[in-house]
Amino acid sequence: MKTILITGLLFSIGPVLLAQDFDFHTLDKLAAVAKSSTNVTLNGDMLKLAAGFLGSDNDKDAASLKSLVANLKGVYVRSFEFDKPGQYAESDVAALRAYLKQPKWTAIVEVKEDKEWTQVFVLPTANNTKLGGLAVVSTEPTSLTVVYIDGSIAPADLEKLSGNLGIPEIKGLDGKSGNQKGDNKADKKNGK
Amino acid sequence: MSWNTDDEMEKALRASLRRKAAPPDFAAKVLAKARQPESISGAKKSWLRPPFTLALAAALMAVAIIPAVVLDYQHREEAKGLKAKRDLLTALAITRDQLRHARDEVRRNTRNIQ
Repeated sequence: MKTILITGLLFSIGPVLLAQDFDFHTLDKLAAVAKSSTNVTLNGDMLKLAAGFLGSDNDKDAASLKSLVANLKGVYVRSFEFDKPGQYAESDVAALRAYLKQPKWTAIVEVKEDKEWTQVFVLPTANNTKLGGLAVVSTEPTSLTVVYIDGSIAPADLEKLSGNLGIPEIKGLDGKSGNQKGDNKADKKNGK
Repeated sequence: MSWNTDDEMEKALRASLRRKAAPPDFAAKVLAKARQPESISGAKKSWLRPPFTLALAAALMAVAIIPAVVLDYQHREEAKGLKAKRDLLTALAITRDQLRHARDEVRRNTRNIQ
């Protein structure tokens, strides 16, 4: 049975609220039971450092990427892939879902199908020309992915971001949620 | 000096061998003279004294070590920056794939509804 909910609009009016800390601590423990995991935490300083190296390898669209990253305050990703269903509980992401239910967030996409649930949230700003942040929560029986981008993002950047924008394909990513092989802890766990 | 007779020579000898008291500042002059050569050589060799040699050694070590430390710092910063870049691209790739997936699901379900 399919339950489909598509809610929200990208440019809805919302209160001006600064992005607060997005608590990932409830998820970090899942790395211990996950087959692979990706853990990315880049705060403002690290983003500036990373942006400084964009283009160092003749990266495609380095200028576009730099302009996208220039106004960001933080990029946080937690992605886990499990061997079998039931290795994480819905309660593990309940706190995050509750956080994103706050009025300051606007859900622009919510797709719930079978045991797959994908939600995309944006943080509108007062002038509506830019977003204050983006969050994605995607759960499947054997995978879980949470993305939180803190900072100013132009809606056009979202469109660009879902294109290629010079972001290289990562081996193991198949375009579906949570199927990426981790490059941090996953590599260690896989003995790479 | 010449002497006409032996007597004159004897008198001169006696006079010269007569005991005389030393001038009052003789000892001070001798001591001053004795100190003088040492102070000159000390001045010449002052850079070899321990505080100066230690400072010189420290300076030489610093000159040798600082470039290595700077290079090491630059390598560390570069490694940190490259890792940050890789992390950023990984994060953006995951975000892109999630957005694409969400977009595809919406399109597919919208088509199904129609």
